[in-house]
Order: sequence, then structure tokens, then C-alpha cells
Amino acid sequence: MHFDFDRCEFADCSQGGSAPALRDSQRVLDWAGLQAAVEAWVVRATGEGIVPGTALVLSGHKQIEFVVAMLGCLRMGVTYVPLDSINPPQRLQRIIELVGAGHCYDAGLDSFRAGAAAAAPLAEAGLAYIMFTSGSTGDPKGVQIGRDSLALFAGWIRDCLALGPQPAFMNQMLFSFDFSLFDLCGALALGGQCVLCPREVIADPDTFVGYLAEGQVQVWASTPSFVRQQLLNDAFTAEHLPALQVFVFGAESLTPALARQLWERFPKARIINSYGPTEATCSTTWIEIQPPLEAGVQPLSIGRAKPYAELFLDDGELCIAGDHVMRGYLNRPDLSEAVLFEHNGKRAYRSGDLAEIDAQGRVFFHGRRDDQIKLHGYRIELGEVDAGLTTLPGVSTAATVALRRPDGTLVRMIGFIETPELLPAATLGPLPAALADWKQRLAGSLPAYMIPSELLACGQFPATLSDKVDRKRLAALYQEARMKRRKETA
Amino acid sequence: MSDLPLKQQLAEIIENVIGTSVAHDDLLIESGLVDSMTAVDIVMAVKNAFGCKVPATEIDEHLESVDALAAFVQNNR
Repeated sequence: MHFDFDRCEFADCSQGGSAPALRDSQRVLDWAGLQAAVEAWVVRATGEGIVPGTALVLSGHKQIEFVVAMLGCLRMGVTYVPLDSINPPQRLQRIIELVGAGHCYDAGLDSFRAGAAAAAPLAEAGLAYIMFTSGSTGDPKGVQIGRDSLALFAGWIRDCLALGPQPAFMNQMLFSFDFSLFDLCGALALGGQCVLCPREVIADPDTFVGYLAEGQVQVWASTPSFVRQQLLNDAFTAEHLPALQVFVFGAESLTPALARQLWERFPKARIINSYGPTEATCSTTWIEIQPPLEAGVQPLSIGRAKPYAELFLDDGELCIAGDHVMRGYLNRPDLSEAVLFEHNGKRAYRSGDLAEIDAQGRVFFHGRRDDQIKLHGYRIELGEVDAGLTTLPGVSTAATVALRRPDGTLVRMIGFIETPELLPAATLGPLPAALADWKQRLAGSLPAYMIPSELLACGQFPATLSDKVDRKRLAALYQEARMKRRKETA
Repeated sequence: MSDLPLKQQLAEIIENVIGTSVAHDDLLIESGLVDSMTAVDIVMAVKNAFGCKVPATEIDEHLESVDALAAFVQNNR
């Protein structure tokens, strides 16, 4: 059996019904069981009054029920909005309101509840899902992806990656991020198994490796950061995970050094690098990394365009055209207009990513043209973090800075609040005592990965010539202050 | 390995990973200077330089400061 994403239905149902389809920390569900669960869920959802052409917000974390609900939505023609419980309730509620979703489904509780006060059907028809990503003005923005785009994505995994029959995929990335669809679509389209890894399983290295071994995981997809963390575990090797054959990376730069470290532990594994913004259905380019690797730490190529994607540069900015490009941002024609255009009769998207394409069509990523960063694979608009900081008591102006190493790689975020009454201009100092609990307060409105590592007070912010906050100067002030402290204590 | 005092060598390893200067008594994790990702890089770099590995479950303790890390390396190298 498998799930046919072109028709959004189960196929080949006469065989393989007893093979495992989904595994979470509680149970294993076989293919026949999955089909039955999805059909039962559809009956319940219909009974709740959920109808095609509307959106349903799904919340939870790595439960089988979450996947059942996603497939149920696809079966029904309902657009799902996946939100991991890493999102604090305040952000979850804000997204429910932005979507105008009449209903929500909580996968942890396996129950439906009422959604937005002002529920409205979606203006855009034929959407598979809406995925929310960081927005520079403070509100997250909803990327609308069509059902046909999702089918193209699933077809690419099925037809192009040679992953073998019925492979088992690790699923570790949050459902709020579209890269998590790689494992789900791969496993479901190929009639394989998806091994859902909740954070409490991942938190204990030995438990995690044992869990993956038990699920006989063959395909690993994650950010490079996540796999780097696993290198601390001496049991993260081919000996303990003999089934693991393929690593697929995305969402941030993959370096030759990391690929080399992985091959030391998994000498026979294939390594695939991939790239693509959420606005173009998870991934647009891919490449299989081949030894020998170039020396150094320069990131590897992010690959070539997929069969259904066209890539080109406009003034150094990577543009993506094809049927996998989004149907615009939800209810934000202004934002959509700024990035969407038509190219050779197809939808095209201006990515904001600076890139280079070599003679072989291989793309190399060279950073962003705006204040969007990718921290450990998490896509963050510094403007959204700034807006989050201004929700702190007594804070009216804030700026967030991405701290980088001399080679340009990103380390972490540092927040600054403007306190002109307490400090001279462009001078850093400690926070007012009233903000001692700033981290806990921010956790009420921002997901953990969006919370800066440090928060400092600054007199009047340094400004650029165009009167914007000079983030580079703030970073320099920070570095000077650190240097000074080291000298004083040496 | 260089002839620099141990604490200075460790401070340089940490500075290369976190991209900023550290004083020997800076509270690395509590202050936010080191997070779970950079902690991984520091542990791996210390292992490569001194042959001793901070156990994954004891990172908060031994990466508390340069001073704490120096004490760990001194006792385990």
C-alpha cells in the first residue's frame, strides 16, 4: 500500500496492509490501520462541521494522530495548518485568527475545538496546507501551497532519489516546518514507514539511537545542526544503526567537514544536500555529495534544479519558477506582490537568497539580501524578534543582531533594548532590574528558537544613513564590550 | 599543542567557536554566550585538542566557565 498524493487517496490497498506505516513513542500503526484511522477521522471531522475549502489548524507534537489528521484533510479537500506545540499558546491563537480557521484539532488530546471568533473560508482554492513562517513585521506569514505542488514534491522523492522499496524514514523536524514533509511524503508515497521522533525521545542520546534502530530507519533527513549534535554520542555509528543508508540535509549550509565526519561513522552512507524555501514547497534543488570533498569549510553546493523547477538569477538573487511555487501569502497581497511574478507562463518567486550558478548548473548559496537569518535551520526574521522584544514591559524600541564568526557563519542572536534615559547613546549596559525575567516573558509570545541568547540595554541606538537601526554597529559595540571585559579580567 | 597556559588555550578554543571574547570567569551557559549547538562544537574541539571528552550529560557543569573547563581537562587529559 501507499498514499497517492496526486489523487490524495490510498492506493494498492490489496497488498502490504500489515506492513508498518507510522511509529510514534506509543505504538506502531500498519498501513491497513492507517487507512482505517484516516477514514474514521474524516467521518469525525465531517461530523464537526468541517467542510472542504476551509482551513483546519492542527496542533501537537509527533503523534500518529497528527499525521492521520493531515491525511484526513488531504482526503477531504480541507487545508491544514500544522503547528507544533513549540509555539506558545499566544502565537498559536494569533495564527488561528490570521487563518480565520473555524476549527482546530489537537493531536495530543485527539479532540476538536472551536477556532477563530471570525471564521472565514479561504479565498484560494485547492490548497494542501498553509505553513507559517517568520514575518519581518512581527506577524508570522502564511505560505499557501497547492495540492498539486505537494504531489510534485512527493513525486520527486518517489522517482528521483532511489531510496529503495518501502524505506523507513526518521521524522524529527517539527511539523511546523515544511522540511518535515520530506519524511512524511517519502514514507507515504513509497509505502514505507515514518518513524516519528518526539523531543523526549531525542533528548536522551541512547534512547534515541535505540528508537531509530528499533524502527530500522534507513533515511535520515535533518538540518546539519541536528546531526552535528548527534556526533557527541559515541553510539551514533553504522554499527548501532546498520539500516541507515541515506542522509538528506537542508535548511542550512552543509560543510565538507561535517560530511567527512559523517562518513567516518557511516562509511557506506549516501549524503544528499537540498535547498528550497517554504514558498517553493520544501525543496527546489538537490545534489548527491560525492567524495573526494573539496578541502575547507566553504559550504557545499545546494544542487541543481529539480525536473519541474526552473532557476535563474536576477541581479544575484535566486529566482524560482514552476508549479511548486506558492499561491501567495495568506491574506497579504502586498507581501505576495513583492515576491511573486510570472516567468514563462509559470508562477515565479524571488527568494531573497543570493546565489551563484556554475556552468554545470550547480547552485552555491551566498547569504541573504535582507534581515532574514537561518539559525540552526530555523528561519527567523530579525524584525519579528524585534517586535517580540517590544512586548516586554517598558520596552518601546528593540533590535536584534545576528552574531557571526569572522568567516561569516552565524552563531546566535543578541537582543538590544533602547534605554536612552539610562545610558549614553551607543553605550551598552545591563538590563533594568524589572526585566530580570525577560526570557520567561518572551517564551509567552515567541517559540524558543526565536529567543535571543542575551539581552542588553543600550542608550540611543546607532543609526544607519537611512535612519534604520545599525545592526552591524550594535554587533561591533557588543564585541568591543566583550573584548574590554576579557582584558580587565586577564 | 602550544605552550600557552591551559586556560588561555581553552579560552581561544571557545572564542573560535562562539565568535566573541571570553573572560576566564564568564558564566558561559548561564549568560547565553554558549548554547546547545556551540557547546557541541566546544566539546568536539576540546576532545581533538586534549583527548578528553566532556560527557553529554555533564556539559552544563564543565562548560560553566573557562575555569571549570580547565579543571575538567586538567583532571581528565
